[in-house]
Amino acid sequence: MRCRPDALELLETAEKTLADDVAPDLSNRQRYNVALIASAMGIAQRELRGGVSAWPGELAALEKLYERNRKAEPSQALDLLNRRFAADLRTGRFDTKGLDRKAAIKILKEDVLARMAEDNPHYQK
Amino acid sequence: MKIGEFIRDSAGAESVRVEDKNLLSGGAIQENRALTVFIQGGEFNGEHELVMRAEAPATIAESRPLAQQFAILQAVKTAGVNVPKPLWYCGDNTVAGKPFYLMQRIYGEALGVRVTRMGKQPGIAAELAAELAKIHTITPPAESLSFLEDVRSTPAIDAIHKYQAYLDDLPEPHPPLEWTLRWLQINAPARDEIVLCHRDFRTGNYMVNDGKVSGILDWEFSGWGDPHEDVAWFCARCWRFSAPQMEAGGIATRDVFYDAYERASGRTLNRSLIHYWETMAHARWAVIALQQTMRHRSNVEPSLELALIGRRVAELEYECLKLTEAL
Repeated sequence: MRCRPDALELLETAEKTLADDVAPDLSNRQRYNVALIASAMGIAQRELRGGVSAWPGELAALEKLYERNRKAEPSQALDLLNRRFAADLRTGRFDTKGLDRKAAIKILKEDVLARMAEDNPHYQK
Repeated sequence: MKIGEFIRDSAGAESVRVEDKNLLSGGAIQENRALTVFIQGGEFNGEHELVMRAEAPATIAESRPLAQQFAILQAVKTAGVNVPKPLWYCGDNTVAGKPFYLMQRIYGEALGVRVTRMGKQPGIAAELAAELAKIHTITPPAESLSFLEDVRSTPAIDAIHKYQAYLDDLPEPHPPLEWTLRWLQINAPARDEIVLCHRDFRTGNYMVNDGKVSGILDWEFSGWGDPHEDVAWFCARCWRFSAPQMEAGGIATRDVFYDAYERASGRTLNRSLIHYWETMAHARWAVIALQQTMRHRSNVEPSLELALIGRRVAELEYECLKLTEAL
């Protein structure tokens, strides 16, 4: 068992120290760098709170689309299925209206919204 | 040979003294330095504030070599576009270690966040639209721009093939971008008028000084294309910075920009083509962002800024899904 504070708590504290204690004393250029660092730490924290994927249903949704049973490791399966999904999108497998197209759009939507919540939660939609 | 000697020979001067001031901000791909140059003799006799633009350590596929950027800058200057005056190009690596060119320094604010925080600026938007119309007066074939790639199929189809090839070079698949490129393929417009496109005409790439445009910058992506591409790029959500509600570059309404462009160019803008090219804009910027991030990931140019650009992709894909009505 790991000790506390855990990775998330450490990142959170480090980010707060940067913003509250370090940034006010810096030049504009360094303040910009601190903002970048804080942004990276924020993304890392939100990503750590999730799992392998930005949204928990990703693997299941892709497996359903491709009628595939769970065999590979989740991260490997995600990579393989997403490759297939990307290739099928390019070649027009989801061009025509139907259940597959609906499922494909749902996957795209879930994926993008979940990644956006991690990467830029303040984005004005 | 030093930079001073290069300037002396290029300017036909007797002697030249160069003060290297500092690295200027802006330009994620290229490097810009401010120089003060004291020239004695010849037609450039006097003190000059110049900018030296040099090739960055690693570029991306979209980015044109410096010699071509210089030729484009000369061509648009001749066409009357408001740009910093291009002076001399140096391709000899022994002078500064890499190719560079010198241009007149212009002043003002370029940073997108600051420009859009100044509030509504319809005058600037109208000025920019007129500048864009001037850029679009340059059409193929243009002798001094013979290096520009011909449009093979249509500007849209050529672009789609290019971005698909870029995606193929990346280590991970990107389904939302594949979806968008497929939509763009199905809805691609027929070939129409071809003009010189700036291809990065947006807030952040022009300078504003005393309420006026002091110059259009960054000609590294320019090429032959559809005039709607530049109009859409300027209006795309991803280039409005702190004022997303101001749909023309974060500084004005679309109407102000469109009207001024139509008046200056004599063209009638096709609104559905702007929608099409705005979708392309987000897909293109997402692909470029992924390439930028690869410069960091491949250790060619480790940088937190480049690393974080990769995490902007989700919001670009969000705009793509919205524009293709998947959301």
